[in-house]
Amino acid sequence: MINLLEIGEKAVKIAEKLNVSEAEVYLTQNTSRYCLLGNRVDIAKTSISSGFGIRVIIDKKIGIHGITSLQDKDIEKAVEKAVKIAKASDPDPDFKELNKKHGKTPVSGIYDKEIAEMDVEKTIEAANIMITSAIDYDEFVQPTRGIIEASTWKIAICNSHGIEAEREGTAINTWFRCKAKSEGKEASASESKQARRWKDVDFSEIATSAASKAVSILDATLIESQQMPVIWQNKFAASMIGVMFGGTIDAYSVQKNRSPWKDKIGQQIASENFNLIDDGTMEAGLRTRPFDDEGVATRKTPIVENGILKNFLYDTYTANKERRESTGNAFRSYNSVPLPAPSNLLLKPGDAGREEIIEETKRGLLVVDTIGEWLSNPVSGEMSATVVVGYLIENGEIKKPVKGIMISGNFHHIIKHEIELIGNDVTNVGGIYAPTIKIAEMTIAGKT
Amino acid sequence: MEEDFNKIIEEGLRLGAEYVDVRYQEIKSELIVAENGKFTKYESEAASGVGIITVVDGVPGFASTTIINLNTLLETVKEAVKIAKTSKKLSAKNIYAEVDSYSDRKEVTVKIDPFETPAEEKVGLIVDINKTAILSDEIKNVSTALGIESDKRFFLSSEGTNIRTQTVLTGLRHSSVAKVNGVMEQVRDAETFVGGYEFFKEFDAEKFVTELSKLAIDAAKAKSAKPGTYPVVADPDIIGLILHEAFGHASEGDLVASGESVLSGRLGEKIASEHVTIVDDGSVEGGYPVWYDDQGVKKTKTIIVKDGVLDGYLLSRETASKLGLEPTGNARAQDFENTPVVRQTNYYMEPGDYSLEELVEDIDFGYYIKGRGGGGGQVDVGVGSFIFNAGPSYIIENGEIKELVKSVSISGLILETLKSVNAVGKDFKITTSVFGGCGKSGQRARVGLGGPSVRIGKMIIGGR
Repeated sequence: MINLLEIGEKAVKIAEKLNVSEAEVYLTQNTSRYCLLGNRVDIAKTSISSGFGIRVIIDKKIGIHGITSLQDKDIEKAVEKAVKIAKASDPDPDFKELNKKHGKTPVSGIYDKEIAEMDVEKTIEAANIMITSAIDYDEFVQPTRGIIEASTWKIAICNSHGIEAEREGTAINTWFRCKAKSEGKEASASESKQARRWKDVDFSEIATSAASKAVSILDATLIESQQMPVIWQNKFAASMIGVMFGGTIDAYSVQKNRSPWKDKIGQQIASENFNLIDDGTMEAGLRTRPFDDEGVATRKTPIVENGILKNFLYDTYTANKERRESTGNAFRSYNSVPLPAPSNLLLKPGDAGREEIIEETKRGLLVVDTIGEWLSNPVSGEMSATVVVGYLIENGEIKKPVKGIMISGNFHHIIKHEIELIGNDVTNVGGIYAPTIKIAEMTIAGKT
Repeated sequence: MEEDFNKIIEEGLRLGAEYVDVRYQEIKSELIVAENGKFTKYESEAASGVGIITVVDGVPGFASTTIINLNTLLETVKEAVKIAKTSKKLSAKNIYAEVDSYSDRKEVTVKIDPFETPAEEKVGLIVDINKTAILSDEIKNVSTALGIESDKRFFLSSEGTNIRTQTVLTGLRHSSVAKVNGVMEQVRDAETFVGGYEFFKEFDAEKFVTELSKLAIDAAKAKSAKPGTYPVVADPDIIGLILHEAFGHASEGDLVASGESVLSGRLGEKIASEHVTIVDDGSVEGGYPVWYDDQGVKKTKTIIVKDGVLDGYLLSRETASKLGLEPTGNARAQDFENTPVVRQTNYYMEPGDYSLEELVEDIDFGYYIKGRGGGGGQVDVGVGSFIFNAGPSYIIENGEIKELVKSVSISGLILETLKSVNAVGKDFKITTSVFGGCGKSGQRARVGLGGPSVRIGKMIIGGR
């Protein structure tokens, strides 16, 4: 086994000999086991990769360089290259210093022995479970594409302030798509799941969900353009929270004037039932870790509390700029500079079950899956999404499937004035966790 | 290195594989960014590694590593064979269609190596270009980036194919944000040259960024388009994007073979108007050069649609064999860590003989849709529905191009759109980008987009 910390310490010393003010090394080692499927399993693979990233500072001038080799001679050259880049750069007056304080928050559920010790055969077996479950669901269903990827990684951080930190993690990412065909009609639908532990993924359930969605929308029709209540099923709610908050609550975007939330701390930006929290310590959370990519201990940071904007997320650089503490939200890869970003972003659940929310909707639209929602504008809050899986609700019951319609509205207005109910069925899309929510009114563009 | 790779192939065959290929790759890239007249960042990367495919009884297995020495490579080929043998129990056979074997070297001509150009010179250039885009107080943000990439690939197979290629891209990306009377508008564009730093000797970068700033100001002052369905003329940038995303993906052999594509089982059918001929071409001026794919298959010009009739698909060796057709050299892998999947190269509509004036002269009211300044879109390949953000565009009234409107969104169903093409321009432009590419199955591939200007009978226009 390669000793990442040893390589890191050595590289910091090489940089110090070149008279840099500060140096930081970020090392990664990753094993990924993966299976790709079409109608059946197409190919399986194992990939082993490593990364070495060096950041040097010379009189507030920053140089970084990343390589995949961990060999001594390549590392030496990489450090020299980073120094060259730093010397060519202009000084950044906002840069104060690298992180000096290492901390570790106890977290659990982020390293799964079952994934770390598995063979690629396990992904192939899981793929077969998905294929057979989809076909078993209905004879008219055909699997068309899918991915199962299980990864195990180790990360090490060393810097010239004596920080030496190392952590491990595992994750699994699954995506499955199938097509239903009946009486000349065709429809496709997908399902996905990301988790930290193998046991948290039910492959049969993923395939059955995709298959049942595809079958359910075979008879989908276009409906008239109108205004009506819209229920955002949990995954769509999580996607929208991600699009609107994912890149706007980090201090870097705020300091760069790219966030609509700048100067709004302490203000009511959402209704009182709206609570958003960044939790880097969540049990088995997709982005949970004991410390961030600079070695700073992770924590819980309330973003919106009872509708009031409370905090932004910081790494060392953005925190130093405002003379405050990092919130442990630095994220980077071996070839990029750290930037603050959300860890696990959770919209706190309410009491309502999804069934209840549907039952008390006289007439409305249930939105399950969309495309194009990420084209919405997080600065102005203008949002739109094309519904690919959605159903009309009448008198508290799911009635007919709809297709080809677009929903639109302003997210900033919606979270302040239009959230009627928040469900209790939290699920995640990547690191964004949200329950189903009911919006009092949105615009639906359909038949004109 | 070649000697070690030959040993790996021999070892794979000895362990029971009937086919082995080794892909070695070295990728270098740099990105330098300046914002609002100041240097902001310089990212630099060098990655290398080896990916090995082995086929045992028609079932493939793949393993890759970034640690390159003979011992690790022997372990890697062993793992690939083990995966193939394990997969055999549960996977479908993926028979490779027969192809010729080649021994060849191809590389892009580079006059000035952009990686050897001093870092100071590159930083200075980008900061200077960025400053020229600050035209007035109406410009609120300008961001300029220099991107360079070198991609060296070495492919060696047990069938005797031995190919070395190297591509180098040098490009400039710029975004200007203008605010006029409280209305903000952002436009961005990029220009990429297939070659080295000599690009900056020939390209008028200052004019490029100043024009974008002017466009941002004009667009901020402009009215929005009136949502509705109109006849349009689409420029090469936007028609290239629509064709690639909404039609190109549907013509990819894996989606065709699995039945996911709207084009499955329709060869020989008339699917577009007779004005439409669509090709995928590995070597076209301005596009991304693909001489051979990552299965060592020679890439030439593949005809997909001939005079409105579906004539072919994009195929890898496996999908060709599944569909009973010939491979087209479209199996491409992002890098050594990934297995090749069916991808487009430079995908475009062949030009016709209309001038831009002739394209617009019969339109009473419609829009001249421009790609520049737009970005993003999404497609459902199963149905063929698409939505894209185009850039600031122009009204066409009484046969003439009139005033500018703000960025528009366009949407439709691709086969209906292609059927309503009623004239094709004689202008022609293909571009590639060092800053982006096409994503599929978690892999990115450099592609070329573009074509002629095209007149489309019906397109749904929305505001943005």
